[in-house]
Amino acid sequence: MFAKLAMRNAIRSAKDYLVYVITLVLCVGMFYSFMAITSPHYQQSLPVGYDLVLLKRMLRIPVILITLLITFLVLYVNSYMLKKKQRMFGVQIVLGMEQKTAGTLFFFETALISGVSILLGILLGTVFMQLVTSVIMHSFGESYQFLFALYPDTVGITVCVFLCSFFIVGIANAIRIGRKKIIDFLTADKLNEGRKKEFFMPILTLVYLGISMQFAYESIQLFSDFQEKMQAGDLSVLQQVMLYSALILPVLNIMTGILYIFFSIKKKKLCSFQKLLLVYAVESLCFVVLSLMIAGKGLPIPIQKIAVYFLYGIGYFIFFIFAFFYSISEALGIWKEKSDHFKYEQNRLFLIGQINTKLRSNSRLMGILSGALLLAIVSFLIEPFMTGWALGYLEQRAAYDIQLSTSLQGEEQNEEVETIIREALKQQGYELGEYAVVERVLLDETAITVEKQEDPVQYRREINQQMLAMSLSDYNNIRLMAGLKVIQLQPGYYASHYSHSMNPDKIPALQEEIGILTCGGKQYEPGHWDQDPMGEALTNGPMDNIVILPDEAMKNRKVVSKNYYGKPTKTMTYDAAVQVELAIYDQMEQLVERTDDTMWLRMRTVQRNQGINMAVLMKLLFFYGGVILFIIIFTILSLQQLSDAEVFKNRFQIIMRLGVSKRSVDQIILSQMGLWFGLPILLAIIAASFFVRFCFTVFRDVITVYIGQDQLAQSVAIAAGIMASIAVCYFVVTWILFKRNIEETK
Amino acid sequence: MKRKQGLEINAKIGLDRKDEFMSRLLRVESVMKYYGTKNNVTKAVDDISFTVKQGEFVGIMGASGSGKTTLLNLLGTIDTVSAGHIYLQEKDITELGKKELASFRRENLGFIFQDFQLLDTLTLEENIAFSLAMNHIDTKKIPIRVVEVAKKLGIEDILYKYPYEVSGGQKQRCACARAIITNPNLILADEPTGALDSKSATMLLKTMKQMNDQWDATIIMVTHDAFSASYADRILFLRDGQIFNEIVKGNQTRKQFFDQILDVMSVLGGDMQNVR
Repeated sequence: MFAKLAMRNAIRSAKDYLVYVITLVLCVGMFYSFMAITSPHYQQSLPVGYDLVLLKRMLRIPVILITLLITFLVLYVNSYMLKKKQRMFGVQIVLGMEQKTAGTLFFFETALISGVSILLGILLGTVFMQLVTSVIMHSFGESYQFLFALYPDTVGITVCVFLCSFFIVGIANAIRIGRKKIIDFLTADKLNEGRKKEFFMPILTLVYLGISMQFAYESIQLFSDFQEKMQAGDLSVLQQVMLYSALILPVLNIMTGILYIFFSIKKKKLCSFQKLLLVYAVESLCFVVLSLMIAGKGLPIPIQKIAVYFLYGIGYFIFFIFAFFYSISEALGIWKEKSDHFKYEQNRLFLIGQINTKLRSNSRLMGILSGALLLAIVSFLIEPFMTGWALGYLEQRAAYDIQLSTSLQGEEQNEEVETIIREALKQQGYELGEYAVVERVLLDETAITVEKQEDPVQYRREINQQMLAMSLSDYNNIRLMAGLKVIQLQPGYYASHYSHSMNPDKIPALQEEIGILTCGGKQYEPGHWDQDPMGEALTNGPMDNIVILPDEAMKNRKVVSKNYYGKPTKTMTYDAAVQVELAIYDQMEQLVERTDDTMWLRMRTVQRNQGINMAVLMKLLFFYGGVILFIIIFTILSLQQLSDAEVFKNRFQIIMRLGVSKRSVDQIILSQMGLWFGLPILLAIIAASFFVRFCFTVFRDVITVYIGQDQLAQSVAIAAGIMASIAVCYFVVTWILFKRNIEETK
Repeated sequence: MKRKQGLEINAKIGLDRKDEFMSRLLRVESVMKYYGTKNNVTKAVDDISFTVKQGEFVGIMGASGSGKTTLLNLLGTIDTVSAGHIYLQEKDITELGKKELASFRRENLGFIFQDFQLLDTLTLEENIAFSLAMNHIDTKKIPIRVVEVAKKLGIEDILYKYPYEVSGGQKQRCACARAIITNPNLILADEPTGALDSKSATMLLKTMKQMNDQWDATIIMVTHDAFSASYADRILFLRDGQIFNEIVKGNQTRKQFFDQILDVMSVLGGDMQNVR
């Protein structure tokens, strides 16, 4: 009988569970698609030559974090359903049902809904997995056909994880129901929402004051660092304002606290903490702006200080979010008192009352949601950057199947190295096809102050700071190997090759800086330059470049390094590439040990694999992580409104009886929803725009190099579109359900 | 103006029945309200007709299920009639569209409910002011009017408090203030003393009587309590959706009227014959 009752309850409450079900289905789907990647069945379905070992290893921690997030969501939604059904429990118990039976019924009801959600989620997960796979395949440059496949191990893990979460939460709820008094069930909906006593905000305020003191200390040091420049008139007005503000703000902070204590002592009771928070909210916002201005190259400070002030900005912003939500009802109250026109205009009185009441009892939650929303937005925004960084111009770096860079100088090792490479390939059943040796020479031999034999470490350090040169023929050989066209040198000119990581906008200036070169008694002017994909073993020095000179200029120059490039006759598989890499390393290490040299080796297949692993991981982590965070946040915001449907219903009924028209009621509902969803979104967007501006200012060069500003803008637009879609969907569903709840009274 | 003239004439000719000179405010004609389907119809209100004059205090009594609350809901445009007409100041409110009803309710009616129906998110002051705000009264005048009405009802000291912070009697007085502040043509009270203790109930009834006597408020009060009903000028007794009896206080004292009410109620509850 109870099983029937549980099922009937579940079916009847289906619309109440709607938001919960949708959210759970999406989260299960995401979880399944993540876990599916780690399945051996998944590995088998990939084209030969690629391995996701690194990805699987790195996914472990994010998967745990996502599981924790999802468990939190399950807990929250269960609390919401529990609150909604309190009166029903009360009636059931009064009619004679045992309390633990009521708890067990609820457990089965939620288990049923959750079971259905898990099944639907897994089905959706297979679709998500296909999307993830297509992303991976696209990254590898392979085409992919959608294929519906269920992996038993992944299904098992997903079901276990979620069932465990539900089980733990369900048992906890059943115990709660069993222990509560009957009268509390029956009168639960009559309780007014008020601010609960908690220590979170007072503790956070103390932390904030502590940070301010540290900020004050840093600012005093900063001020003294720039004092001379200020006196010399080398700083702009804005910079001076920043420096003085950095001193004044912490003082203001502390003075506010002292005044609060003073007035509390005078009145012999604690003054309004909300008023204090209102003042601190304003001050912390000033701190945020100031910190980000300083960190965003407002002052010429070293990179470590930039990071410190950026962290200050984040810290102050976190405090600001909480202080904002804790004190906004106070601000509205003050505004209401001062302006009758404001509060009595149309239905504002009712709307403010609604929002204030809700905010008062949910300040901490709103603060957390805003912070989480900011994290989600930032995840979306930095995903293209992180993916781009992970890929790190993979095509440019992984231009050759085998790139071996050494500090070998003599001719005698050339044959030995070639043999090592051939043998390593042969062991795996491959033949060496194309092969090239490149010698890099010093342009300015007087720049090296030590001999290699005397102090190899210092020697290498000094070499690394020098611009090197190579012959035109060597350069063209490896260009041909990389599938590029050869270059020509006009008489009296040299060419330059720059690393892919240099900002192309800055290269003309660097070319001018290098200017005319003298080599072998002849002068050469700057000519052609490029950043073509030629691996990472060529460039050197502070400008990360190499100069290409005619062959005759290279005679008798001091060779400081030799690079070896190899290409087998057919593409290597990943496993074979790993074995070849190990074999070459093994042999080369013995060789360079003998000659007291260094080496590094890059295999294209392995590089691509690692790079793509990392890129996919970044995409999954930041993009999908952001989506899950969004889903969780909006579910909670939605349930916040829907959970008090009975109370809202009653209030709206009263005002409709008093003569408020349906149109006005609809407007109030829309405004209420808009404010409730809009406040955290607005705060998060403002903070995210500060963050983006800061990143663009500080990391402009890196962004330009790894992604390109247009590409980044496109990615930001796509991310914004996705965020807006999720937000709008949740808003619309909540609005419709809320209106239906209100209209049910008519 | 007409009311004032009427009272002056009263005084001149020494008549103590003000109703002869009062104009008709409300006219209910053959109003019916049914629920259910073809084969299972429940007549909550079955062909009721009566009038209420301006400045009257009318009580509607009956047992549970007699249709008194349904009738009040029909008068308050909260529910729609199945048949018949209701005229307020000669305007047929049963013909009003949905949009017109809301503004009609706002401008012409005041409500006092058994469970107070105050907005828990607003202070008492804001609850009272809400009616004025809805009617787009000049925002500068709102606080002044609120304080004025609150003083009359003895709640000016607690205006800053929230409903959960005050007693039932104070809440109901706040509801009264909200009902009268817009000077409505008609005040509808549904079991206003139902949730109050006897002391608070007496205080409230005296307040309502004061509203009727001093400010000429027209009140229709639904109640099942004879004591509450004794404060009215006229009582309509309902049984099974129809008017069973009507008694007028006239020159009786409240105690005498109370006894008369009890007599009728005993007939209502016992003898099935119509004594009208």
